[in-house]
Amino acid sequence: MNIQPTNPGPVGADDNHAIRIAFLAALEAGERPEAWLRRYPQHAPALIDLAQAYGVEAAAPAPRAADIMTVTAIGRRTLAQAGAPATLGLAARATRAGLTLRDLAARVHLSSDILHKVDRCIVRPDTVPVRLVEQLAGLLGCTAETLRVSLAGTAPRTVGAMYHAAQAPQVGQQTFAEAVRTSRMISADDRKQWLTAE
Amino acid sequence: MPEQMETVPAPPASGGLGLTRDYRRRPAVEAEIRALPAAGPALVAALQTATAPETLVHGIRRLLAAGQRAAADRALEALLERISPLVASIAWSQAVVADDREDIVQATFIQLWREVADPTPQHEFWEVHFNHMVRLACADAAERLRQARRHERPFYTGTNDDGDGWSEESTLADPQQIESTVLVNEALAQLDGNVRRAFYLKMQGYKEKSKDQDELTISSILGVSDRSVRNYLRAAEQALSHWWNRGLLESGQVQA
Repeated sequence: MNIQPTNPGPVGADDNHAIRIAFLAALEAGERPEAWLRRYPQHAPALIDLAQAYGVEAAAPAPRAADIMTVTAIGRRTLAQAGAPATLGLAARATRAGLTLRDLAARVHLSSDILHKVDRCIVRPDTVPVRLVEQLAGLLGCTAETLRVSLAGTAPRTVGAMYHAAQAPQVGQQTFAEAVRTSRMISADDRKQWLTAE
Repeated sequence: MPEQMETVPAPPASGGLGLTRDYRRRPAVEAEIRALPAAGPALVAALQTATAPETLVHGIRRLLAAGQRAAADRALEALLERISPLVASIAWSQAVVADDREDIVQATFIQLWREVADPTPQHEFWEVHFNHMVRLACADAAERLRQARRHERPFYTGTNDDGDGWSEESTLADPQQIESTVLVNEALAQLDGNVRRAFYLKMQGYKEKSKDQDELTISSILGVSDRSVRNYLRAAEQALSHWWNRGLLESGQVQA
């Protein structure tokens, strides 16, 4: 049996990656997986998973128009985030994703005042729950790591904030739990859920 | 490592149409890239009608290298339109639950946009075998999803007011409602790790054990004992009891 890939993969930095690419090329060329499983037993789980998914993909009917539209929408959202500067804040990222902070807050069961505080670093970034960052990143179409970078900061960002006072008030930082506890907009259930989760 | 994969490193940007290694594109892709105008509006226009995603990736990198960000963005948009059906097909093959599929698509696109815009050698294969790179990205995203699921809580169980047993699992979608064409895929999605792999190999006709030392068996492929394989298959059988009872066997795709 010919186990040589029809179109070789990259070699060197990551053998696992290269072997999987070459294996897919072999499946595409009509080869059976046996020779690959014999030759690369250490990669057997990954190769079996690929073979299974490839078989399902090959047997499946063409995707429906609605499915393609869903995928395109996700692609467009993630593309907008991919071009965003790393320092782009939460509100700006939400706008790129076609959302308002209020929409975003509703989807993660928070109130918009808390997300404003998170966006402006009034909530200390290190106190923002990992789960919240992951949920927000999922909604915005970026990675949690990217969003962490966006939210990072050691002092409140108050430039551009509007005040009804002759002098800008001194804005201190607070923890996420304090922001949740003192919010007047969040529902009792959501407040309890976030404080319990902390 | 297969012999043909042991490639000879080439100096950057020499030959290979910008590839630093001696990868081989499909001839049609190679021809399409060679036919691209060198730069400017003509390149942008040509990319809009390019057929291979590899060509678009190559052009996008050329535009980014030339500092033409706006033109690259238009080409990225064209790439998105071109590959959405492909990504849907591949992501749908990795999961059966709609939310999972969308998570996989999102993770795939995040990786794709980052790596397509990155001209470093480790990401060059997007210009050589784009479809397989999408397959790997989807497979990795699906695996991360499965890993995350391992930490999820089990289904709640209890007794209702009438004293009858109750399980949260019974509130899930009824397998009977699933189309027969996706029955096996749906059944496999209920399984995890080696249990799923053992069941898949069984479906593919591999034996649990063999007297022939040279014959590949489920246990030799997975590197576990025959007893472990039996345990995996028993676990699969228990997990799939609904599917066994409701037509998986009759579907003809699984042998008893």
